[in-house]
Amino acid sequence: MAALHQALKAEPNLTPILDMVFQLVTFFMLVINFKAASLDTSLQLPVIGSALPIESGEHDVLVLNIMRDGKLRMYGEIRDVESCIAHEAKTARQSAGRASSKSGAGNDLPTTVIIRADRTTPYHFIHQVIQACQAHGYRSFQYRALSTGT
Amino acid sequence: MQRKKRHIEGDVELNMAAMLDMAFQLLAFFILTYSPAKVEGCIAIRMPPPVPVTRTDSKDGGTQNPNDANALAGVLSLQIAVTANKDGGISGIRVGEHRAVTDLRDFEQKLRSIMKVSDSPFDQVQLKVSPTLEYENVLKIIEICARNKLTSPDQQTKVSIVELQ
Repeated sequence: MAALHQALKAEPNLTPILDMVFQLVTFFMLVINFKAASLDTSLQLPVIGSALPIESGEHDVLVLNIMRDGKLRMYGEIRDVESCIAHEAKTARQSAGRASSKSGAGNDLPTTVIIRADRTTPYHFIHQVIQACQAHGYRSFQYRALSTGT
Repeated sequence: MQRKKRHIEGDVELNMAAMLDMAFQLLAFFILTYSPAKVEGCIAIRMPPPVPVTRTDSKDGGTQNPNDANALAGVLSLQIAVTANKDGGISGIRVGEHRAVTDLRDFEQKLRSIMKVSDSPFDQVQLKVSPTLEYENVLKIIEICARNKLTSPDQQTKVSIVELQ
């Protein structure tokens, strides 16, 4: 009896399951978006009818999540508005200088500031952030919102 | 000759279990980090720091020089003042010197009537916003401005925003 058990050696064929798992891994690798880490998904964005679709080609962006009490959140951490924007502007200026020393477009930074604020945030807080950005050379801004259809 | 025969007889078996373990680890990581975000839209605005806005017919203002890069100078801005109630909603919208309206539809009608005039001097809007006005309401007003031809060819809305004192 023992000899019979030894003779019947069951070996499952793992190849199909491995194929399937690799297919799934490939799918998730393709849809993963590491940029989403900079977006605070807890914010209730305003809903407007004719928000333009976001251009995917834009790489030089600074995402600022503004909570309803005016606090600035970046990558899950609450940051001080002035010091944070000053630091980001310094970094952007350094990288812009490295990228093209010829361009020299004054103090204006090519970076687009993306404002993601809670829909109930008093505009006063957003204005403070924008003024700080302008003071450090940011000129191009984007207000993020959800479209009515989504 | 004998040596070659021994090689053929050897049976190579890959251990799939280890590879499957690793693949499951990867799969678990991707499933746990997967968070489909809602599709967002945007309103793009170019906002240089505030500069004095002058009339085109003024003597000292006006950009007679076409090479002048200061796009704001010489442009007549349409002034829109938005006041807020205690809840952060819109209590009144005053377009230029016109009577204030409270409804967004009335505001759009008024703006449209101003902008549809063929020789309308207004090329951009200066929004004066009450500090307590909710962000969503500000965006609704900017959206109406963008709908009414106050958008440049590069899709940037020609609106500057200041706080109402």
